Amino acid sequence: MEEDLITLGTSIRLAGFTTIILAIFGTPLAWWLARSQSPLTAICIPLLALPLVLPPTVIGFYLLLAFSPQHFFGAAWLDWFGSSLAFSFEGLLLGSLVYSLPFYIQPMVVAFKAIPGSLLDAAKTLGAGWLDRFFTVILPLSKNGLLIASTLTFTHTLGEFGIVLMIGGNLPGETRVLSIALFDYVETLNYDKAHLLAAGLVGFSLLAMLLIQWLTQDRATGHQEKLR
Amino acid sequence: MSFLTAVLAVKQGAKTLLKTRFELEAAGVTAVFGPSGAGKTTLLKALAGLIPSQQTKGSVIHSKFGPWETQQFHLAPEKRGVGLVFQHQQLFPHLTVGENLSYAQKRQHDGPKLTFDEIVAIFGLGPLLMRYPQALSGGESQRASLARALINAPRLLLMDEPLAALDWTARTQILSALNHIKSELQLPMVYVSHQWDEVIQLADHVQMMDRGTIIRSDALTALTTDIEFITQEQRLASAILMTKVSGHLPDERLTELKLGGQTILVPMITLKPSADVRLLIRMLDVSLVAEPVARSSILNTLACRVAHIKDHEGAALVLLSCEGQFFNARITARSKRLLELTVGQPIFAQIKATALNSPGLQDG
Repeated sequence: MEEDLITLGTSIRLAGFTTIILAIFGTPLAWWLARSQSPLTAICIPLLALPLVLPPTVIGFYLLLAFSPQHFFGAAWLDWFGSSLAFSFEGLLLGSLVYSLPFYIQPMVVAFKAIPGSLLDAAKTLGAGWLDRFFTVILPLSKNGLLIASTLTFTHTLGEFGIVLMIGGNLPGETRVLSIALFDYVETLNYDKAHLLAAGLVGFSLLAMLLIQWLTQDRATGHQEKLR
Repeated sequence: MSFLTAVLAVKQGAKTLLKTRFELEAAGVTAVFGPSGAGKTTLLKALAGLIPSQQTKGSVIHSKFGPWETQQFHLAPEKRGVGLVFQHQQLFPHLTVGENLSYAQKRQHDGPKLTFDEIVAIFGLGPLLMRYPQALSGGESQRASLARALINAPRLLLMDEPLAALDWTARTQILSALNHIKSELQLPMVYVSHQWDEVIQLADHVQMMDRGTIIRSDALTALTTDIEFITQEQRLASAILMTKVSGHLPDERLTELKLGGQTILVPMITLKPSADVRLLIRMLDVSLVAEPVARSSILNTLACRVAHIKDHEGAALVLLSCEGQFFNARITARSKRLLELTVGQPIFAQIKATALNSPGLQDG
């Protein structure tokens, strides 16, 4: 049981960090993809969507190669931080960032594209600079998109299996996550524990989806109520 | 001293959207008048700085506050102090009307300003402050947008057909509020429209635009006294007469206005003697008589001359000249025959007049 709690902790840490880091770096990237006239976006959009269609094992395989100290990236990391990326939490986090990026980016791009340019023009002429506009107009208007993107990223990272298997290994407290633990229990015919984890994940995911439904709906009815 | 002089060039790909000189008077309302697609909106966006600088190569804008645009320099829109009101969708949907106004108040520019409460009163927004924009009618939403732009204390207010999507009542309310603002604030305004009747109600200067270029720039009165210009089809329906307050008759709740040597009575307006009043005269509110009628429910009879007659779909459009100003009457062909109308002939016009810049008008 205690072992499972440690595994749960690792999973939540991984999903939490992935979501936070993507919110910080993915949000401006999504804005650029949604709004830029640059021809570069035509290449970037399909490139960033690639993890959606590629088998996770393919991504895992290339990441594993990149992480190895024989490789430039892995060697540079080792030089810099003094520890190898492969089979480490940091490596797993990097993998999750790559794999979950489209789950964050896509809803944000949709949300950003839906903001009418006239509102941004209005904010500009009212004297709002870029950061001001971002926090007072863009973010509040894409609140639903942000909520959906974050929840999808979090739950999706929590359930990730293929990449973890390739690059993470199965070190308790470091890279052992829920989906791997579940797999192990099934392999060892420990169905009671497997049930606990599986049902727990189903319950959690359902709760997350209900939360999204409730929060995005609440916004609309909240407006209605203030009218009266 | 003008507010701004500019050479504007806007290209989208190989297509030229705008290529013109533009000079803006320091005071009053300048109407930019022209057909749809003439480049009026592009002109406003270029002035506000909302067009990406790679599309405005060759533009130079010098305002009296310093350069806004040169070969190497593009002042960000948020630093120009320009208020902009468009035709639709501009209130922030996640904020109430009151919050929209506060948003603008917190980010005020350094132009002339009225207090929050004054603006709320002028635009009749009191009951709407707690509402979200989705729950406003078109007219309410446009009143709130104008109020938000004015609370922001801009140095210059740009309006892009703000009344185009509205019904007659809403338009009248807003035009009256804008006339009030005009008398309260020394704020230069640009009003883009393709409706001549809106232009005459508000503008002091008119710049006519066609195919991306300003083709004529004149004082409004120069245009309203240009017979060839005002007898064109779409400009007949209404006209304005520029008058001055000469006194009030409080017992009868009337105000006396002077038009040259003649007097016009209108429902009492709270303006001081010798204040300028613009009267709107609709073609259909004018009737003609050969002799002044002594007892009539119509208060005002003006001595005029027939300046021009045009037959139009079985009716006659008669352009009348009165003290150097012009307005139209639309009468039947039969009336024309009975009155034996000819150009140059003296005639009397009975009019129903509406004073435009009476501050109390929007309540009535």
